[in-house]
Amino acid sequence: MTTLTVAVRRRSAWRPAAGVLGVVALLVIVGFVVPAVFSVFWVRSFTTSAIYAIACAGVGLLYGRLGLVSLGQIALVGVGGWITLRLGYGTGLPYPILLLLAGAGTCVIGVMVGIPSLRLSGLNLAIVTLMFAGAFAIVFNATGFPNGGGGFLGRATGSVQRLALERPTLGRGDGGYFRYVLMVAALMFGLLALHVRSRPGRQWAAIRQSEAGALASGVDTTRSKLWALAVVSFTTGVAGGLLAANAGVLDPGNFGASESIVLFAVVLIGGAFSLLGGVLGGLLSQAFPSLLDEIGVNGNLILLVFGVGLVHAVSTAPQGIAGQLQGLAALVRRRVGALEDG
Amino acid sequence: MLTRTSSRLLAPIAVTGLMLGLAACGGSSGDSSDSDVGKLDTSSSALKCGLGNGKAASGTPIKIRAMATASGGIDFSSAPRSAAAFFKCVNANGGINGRPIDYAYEDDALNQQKAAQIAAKFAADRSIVALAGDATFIGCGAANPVYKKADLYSITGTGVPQSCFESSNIAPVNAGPRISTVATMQYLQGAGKADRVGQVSNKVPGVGDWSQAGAIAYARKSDGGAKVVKSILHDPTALDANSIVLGLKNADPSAVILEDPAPMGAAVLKAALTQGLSKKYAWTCLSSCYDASFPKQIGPQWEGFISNSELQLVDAKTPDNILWRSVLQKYGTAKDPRDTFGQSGFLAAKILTDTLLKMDPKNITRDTVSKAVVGITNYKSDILCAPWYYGEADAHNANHTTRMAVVKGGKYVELQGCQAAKDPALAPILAREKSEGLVG
Amino acid sequence: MLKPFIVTGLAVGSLYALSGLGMLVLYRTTGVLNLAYGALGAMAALISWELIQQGTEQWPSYAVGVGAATAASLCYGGLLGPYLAERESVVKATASLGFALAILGVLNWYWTDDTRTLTLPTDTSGFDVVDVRVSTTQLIALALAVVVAVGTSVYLRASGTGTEMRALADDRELTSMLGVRVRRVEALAWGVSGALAGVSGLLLADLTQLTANSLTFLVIPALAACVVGRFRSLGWTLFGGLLVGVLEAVGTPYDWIADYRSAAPFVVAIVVVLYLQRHKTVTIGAAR
Repeated sequence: MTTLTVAVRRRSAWRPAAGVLGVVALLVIVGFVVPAVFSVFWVRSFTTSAIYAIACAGVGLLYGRLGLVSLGQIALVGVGGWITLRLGYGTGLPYPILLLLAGAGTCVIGVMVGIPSLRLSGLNLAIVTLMFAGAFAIVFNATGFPNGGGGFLGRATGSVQRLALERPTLGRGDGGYFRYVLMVAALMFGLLALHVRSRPGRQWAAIRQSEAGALASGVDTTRSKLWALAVVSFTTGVAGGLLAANAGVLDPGNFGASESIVLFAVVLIGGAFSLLGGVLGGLLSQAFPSLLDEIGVNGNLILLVFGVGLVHAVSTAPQGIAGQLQGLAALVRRRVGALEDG
Repeated sequence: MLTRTSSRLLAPIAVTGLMLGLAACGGSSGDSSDSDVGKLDTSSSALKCGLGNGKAASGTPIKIRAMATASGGIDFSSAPRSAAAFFKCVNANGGINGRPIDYAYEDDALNQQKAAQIAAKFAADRSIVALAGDATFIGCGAANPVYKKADLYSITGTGVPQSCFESSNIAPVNAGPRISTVATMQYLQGAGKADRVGQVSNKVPGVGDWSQAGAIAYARKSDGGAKVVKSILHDPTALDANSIVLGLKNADPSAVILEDPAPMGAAVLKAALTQGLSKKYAWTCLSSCYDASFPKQIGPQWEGFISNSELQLVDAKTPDNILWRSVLQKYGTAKDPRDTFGQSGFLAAKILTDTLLKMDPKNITRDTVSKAVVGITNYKSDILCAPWYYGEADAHNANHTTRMAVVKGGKYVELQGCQAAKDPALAPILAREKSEGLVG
Repeated sequence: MLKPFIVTGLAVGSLYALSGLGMLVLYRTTGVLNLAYGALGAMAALISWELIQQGTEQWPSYAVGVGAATAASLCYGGLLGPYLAERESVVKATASLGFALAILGVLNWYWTDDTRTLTLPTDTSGFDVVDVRVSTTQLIALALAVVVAVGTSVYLRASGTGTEMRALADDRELTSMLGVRVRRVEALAWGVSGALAGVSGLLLADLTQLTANSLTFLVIPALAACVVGRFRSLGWTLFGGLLVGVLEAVGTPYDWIADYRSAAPFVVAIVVVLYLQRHKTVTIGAAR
C-alpha cells in the first residue's frame, strides 16, 4: 500500500520576521567584515556596487514585475546626484535630509516623465526611455554638475577652489561610508520588497500577466504603474545622492545613454526577477571590471562581456544569474526535503 | 537538466575564452615607428637614465604609481607607458642610488567613481611615495581631495580639464588647453590674423568652456589686437560638422581655433574643405591635433595647418627628446605611441627620478618624498621651454610657454619657437614664480 | 539666413534617415529592431580603414569591410533567430543591444583612441546649393536612403520573397507551416540588412567621424526617424530623418537654443510617440 505523504507547510508568522532579521544580521556582518578584510580599493568598489545595486533593483522591478523596459534609469541617478550636490552646497542641510530630498525630487521628475509614457508598453516604452536618456545626457553636458558655485546651476567658474561634497558624519571614512551605504541600500531594498510582497506587488503581477485581466479584476492599472514608477524613481534618486557623496564630485560623461544601456544589461544578467539580481547587477557593473583589471584584461573588453551576457540572458536564461542560483537553492531544498521524507 | 545547464554555460565560457584570447593578442598599432628621428643609439652607454652607470639596481623597491584613462573611448595610456619604459631604464642603470623603482598604472576607464577608488587605493598604501606620469581625463577633481588628505603628490604627465591645473596635489608637465588656446591667439595676433577669431570646442565642463574663456580673456586684455567673434560650444556627441562650419562662416572670421579632441577637429576640417573654406581662414588647433598621424589623416589639402605644441616637437633631436625615443625603443614596445602624451609621461618620470636621486636612499618615505616634490624648483629640460617647478599652491600650471607647429610636406615642423602665453589668469602664478624664485 | 542650415540639416538628416531605414527594413522583414546597426557600420568602416592604411586598394577594402558586417549580421541572425522568434519585439531589440555592446567593446579594444578619417573617392566632387557646397558623398547618402525606402517598399509588396518576409515578421511559426523556407528568407533579410549597415557605416564614417562610439550610438537619434515612420512606413521614416536633421541644424544660429540643439531627435521622438499613443487601447496579449 502506498502512503501518500503530503507535506503540509504551516505558514508561520515567524518566517518573514526571521527572514528580515537574517538579512539584517548578514548586512551587519558584511558591513564590518568587508572593510576589515579588503583593501580600501575593494571597499570603495563594493560601496559603489551597493549604490548601483539600488538602481539595478529599480530597473529589475520595472522589468521583472511589470514588464516595462526602462533604458534611461541612469539619467534618474544623475538627477538625484544633481539635486544632492546643489542642495548640499547651497544649504547646510544634514545628509539624510539631502537624500530624502533627492529621492523626492527624482520621484517628481520620474513621474512627470512617466505619466505620458505609461500608456506605452514594450518597444515603444523602451524607445521613449532611450530618447529620454539621450536628452538628459545633453542637458547634463550643458549644465554640468554643481560644484560649489552660485546660481541655479551651481557651477563655479574661474579659479575658485572646487569643492567636494562632504560625506555624512556617520560615514566619513571609507569603511564608515560603506556601512552607511549598506544601511541606506537595505532600507531602499526593504521599501521595494515591502511593495512586492503586499498589494502593489500583487497588482503588478496581475498587470504583467495580462493588463486586460487586471483591469477586469478591478486593478487601476495606470495608478499602479505610476506608483511603481514613483517608488523606483525615489530609490534611484537616493542612489544618485549616495553616489554624489561617494567621490564628492560627479561627471556628466558618466550619465549618458550608453551607461543606461549597460545598467539594463547587468540587471538582466544578474536577474531581473528578484532583488538578489539587483545586488548581483551592482557587483557586475562596478566590482567585476576591477576584477578583470587585476587579471590584466583591457577595460574595453568588459563591454564584450556585458553584451554577450545580455544576449545570453535575454535569449536563454531570462531569470539571470540570481534566478539560476535560486533555482539551484530550490533544487537543493527539494533534494534535502526528499531525503528527510523518504 | 544537465544538457540545458551546459548549454546555458556555453555562451559565458565561450566569451571568456574569446576575451582571454583577444587579450593575449595585441591591438591595432598606432604610429610607433622611430624613422622620423633617424637611427637611435640604444646601447647602454648612450642611454643615460638616472645614475647612468649600467648597473642593475637591486635594493628595496621604491613604489611609484599612476592613474590614466586607458579605456572607455579615450586612451591616454601612452603617458604612463613611456614613464614605465624610463623607470625600467633607470633600474638598469643603478636605480635610485641602488634602489629599483616599482612602477605601474591603473585604468580609470573614464569612470569618475573608479578614479576616486584608485586614488583612495594609492592614498591608503603608504609604501607608494609619489605618483608620476598620470594622464586621466576625469580623475583630477575626484582624486585631489583624497591625495591632499594623504599627503600624496602627483607629477602628472598630461592634464586636460581645469581641475587638473587647479589642484593642490597635482601638477601637470603640459600646459593645458587654456594656455594652448591663449598661445594660439597670441600667435595669430602676431601674424596679423586675430582681428576676428572663431573658436569651436565641445561642451565638456571644465574643458571646452575653460579654454574658450581663455581666448575671450586674452582678447579683452589685448586692446583691440585680438577679438573673438564666434564661440561655438557643441555637445560632445554632435555629428553635424557642417552646421558648425556654417556657423563659423556666418561670423566671417579671419582665423579659427579648433579646441576639440582630434577626431572632431578632423571632422570639422573635412567639412571646411567641402565648403571650400580651407584657404579662406587661418585654421589652427590646440595640441590635441599635434600628433604625427594627424596630417596624413586630414589629407594633403591641409598644408599650412597650424597646431600648438605644449612640449618639444616629438621628432626634435635634442638630448632629452632623443633619450625618450631611445628609451622607448629599448624598454618599451613597438606599439607604444610616440606622441606628446608619451613625452609628458617620460618627462614626469624623469623629474621624479632626478628629485629622488637628490635624497638619502635610506630615507625615502612618502613624507620625505612629498616634501622633496613640492620643493622642486627651476627644473630644466629641452622638452620644456621654461623651467618647471612644483611649489605649495592651490593651482599648478608651471608650463605656460609653448611652441607652434605647421604641416609642411605632410608632416609637422616647427613654425614658431618658445613663446610665453600671456593669459591674464596667470597673474597670481607669475607673481608667485617671482616671489618664491621658482624658475631661478 | 536659415536656408544654408536647412541644406546642412538635410545632409545630416539623410544620415539619420539612412540608419533609420536600415533598421526599419530588418524590422519589417524579421520583426527584429537591430540596434547593432550602427556598430556593424562602425565595424565595416574601421576594417576598411585598417586595410587602406596597410596599403590595400580602396574598393577591395570597402568590399571586405561591408562583407564583414554582412557576415556578422548573418551569424547573429542565424544563431539567435530561432531562440528569439517567439519573444516579443522589445526582447529582440534588447538582445540586439547586447550585440551592439559586444561589437563596440571589441572595436574600442582593437582600434584605440586615435584620429582616423575615411575619405571616399566621391568626397572631392560636389555642387552648390544656396551658398552651401554639397559633396557627392552626401548626395549618395540621400540617394541611398531614397532608394532603400522606395526599393524596399516595392520589393516587399510586389515580389514573392517580399511577401514571405512580411509574413515572417508577422508570425514566424505560421509562416514556416505554410511551407516558406523560413531560415533562408531570414538569412536573406539579415544579410541584406548587414550589407546595408556596412555601406551606411562607410558613408557615415566619411560624413561624420570615424570613431566606434559615435557611429554605434548614432542609432539612438536615428530611432527618431523610425518613430516618425511609426515603425511601419518607409516613406515617413525617410521624412522623419530629414525633419529631425533640419530641426537640429536650424538651431545653430540662435545662441539660446544652440546649446541644446543636439536634443532635437530625442524631443521629436518623444513627442511623436506620445502623440501617436494617446488613444492607446489595452493589450489583450498575455506575458510571455
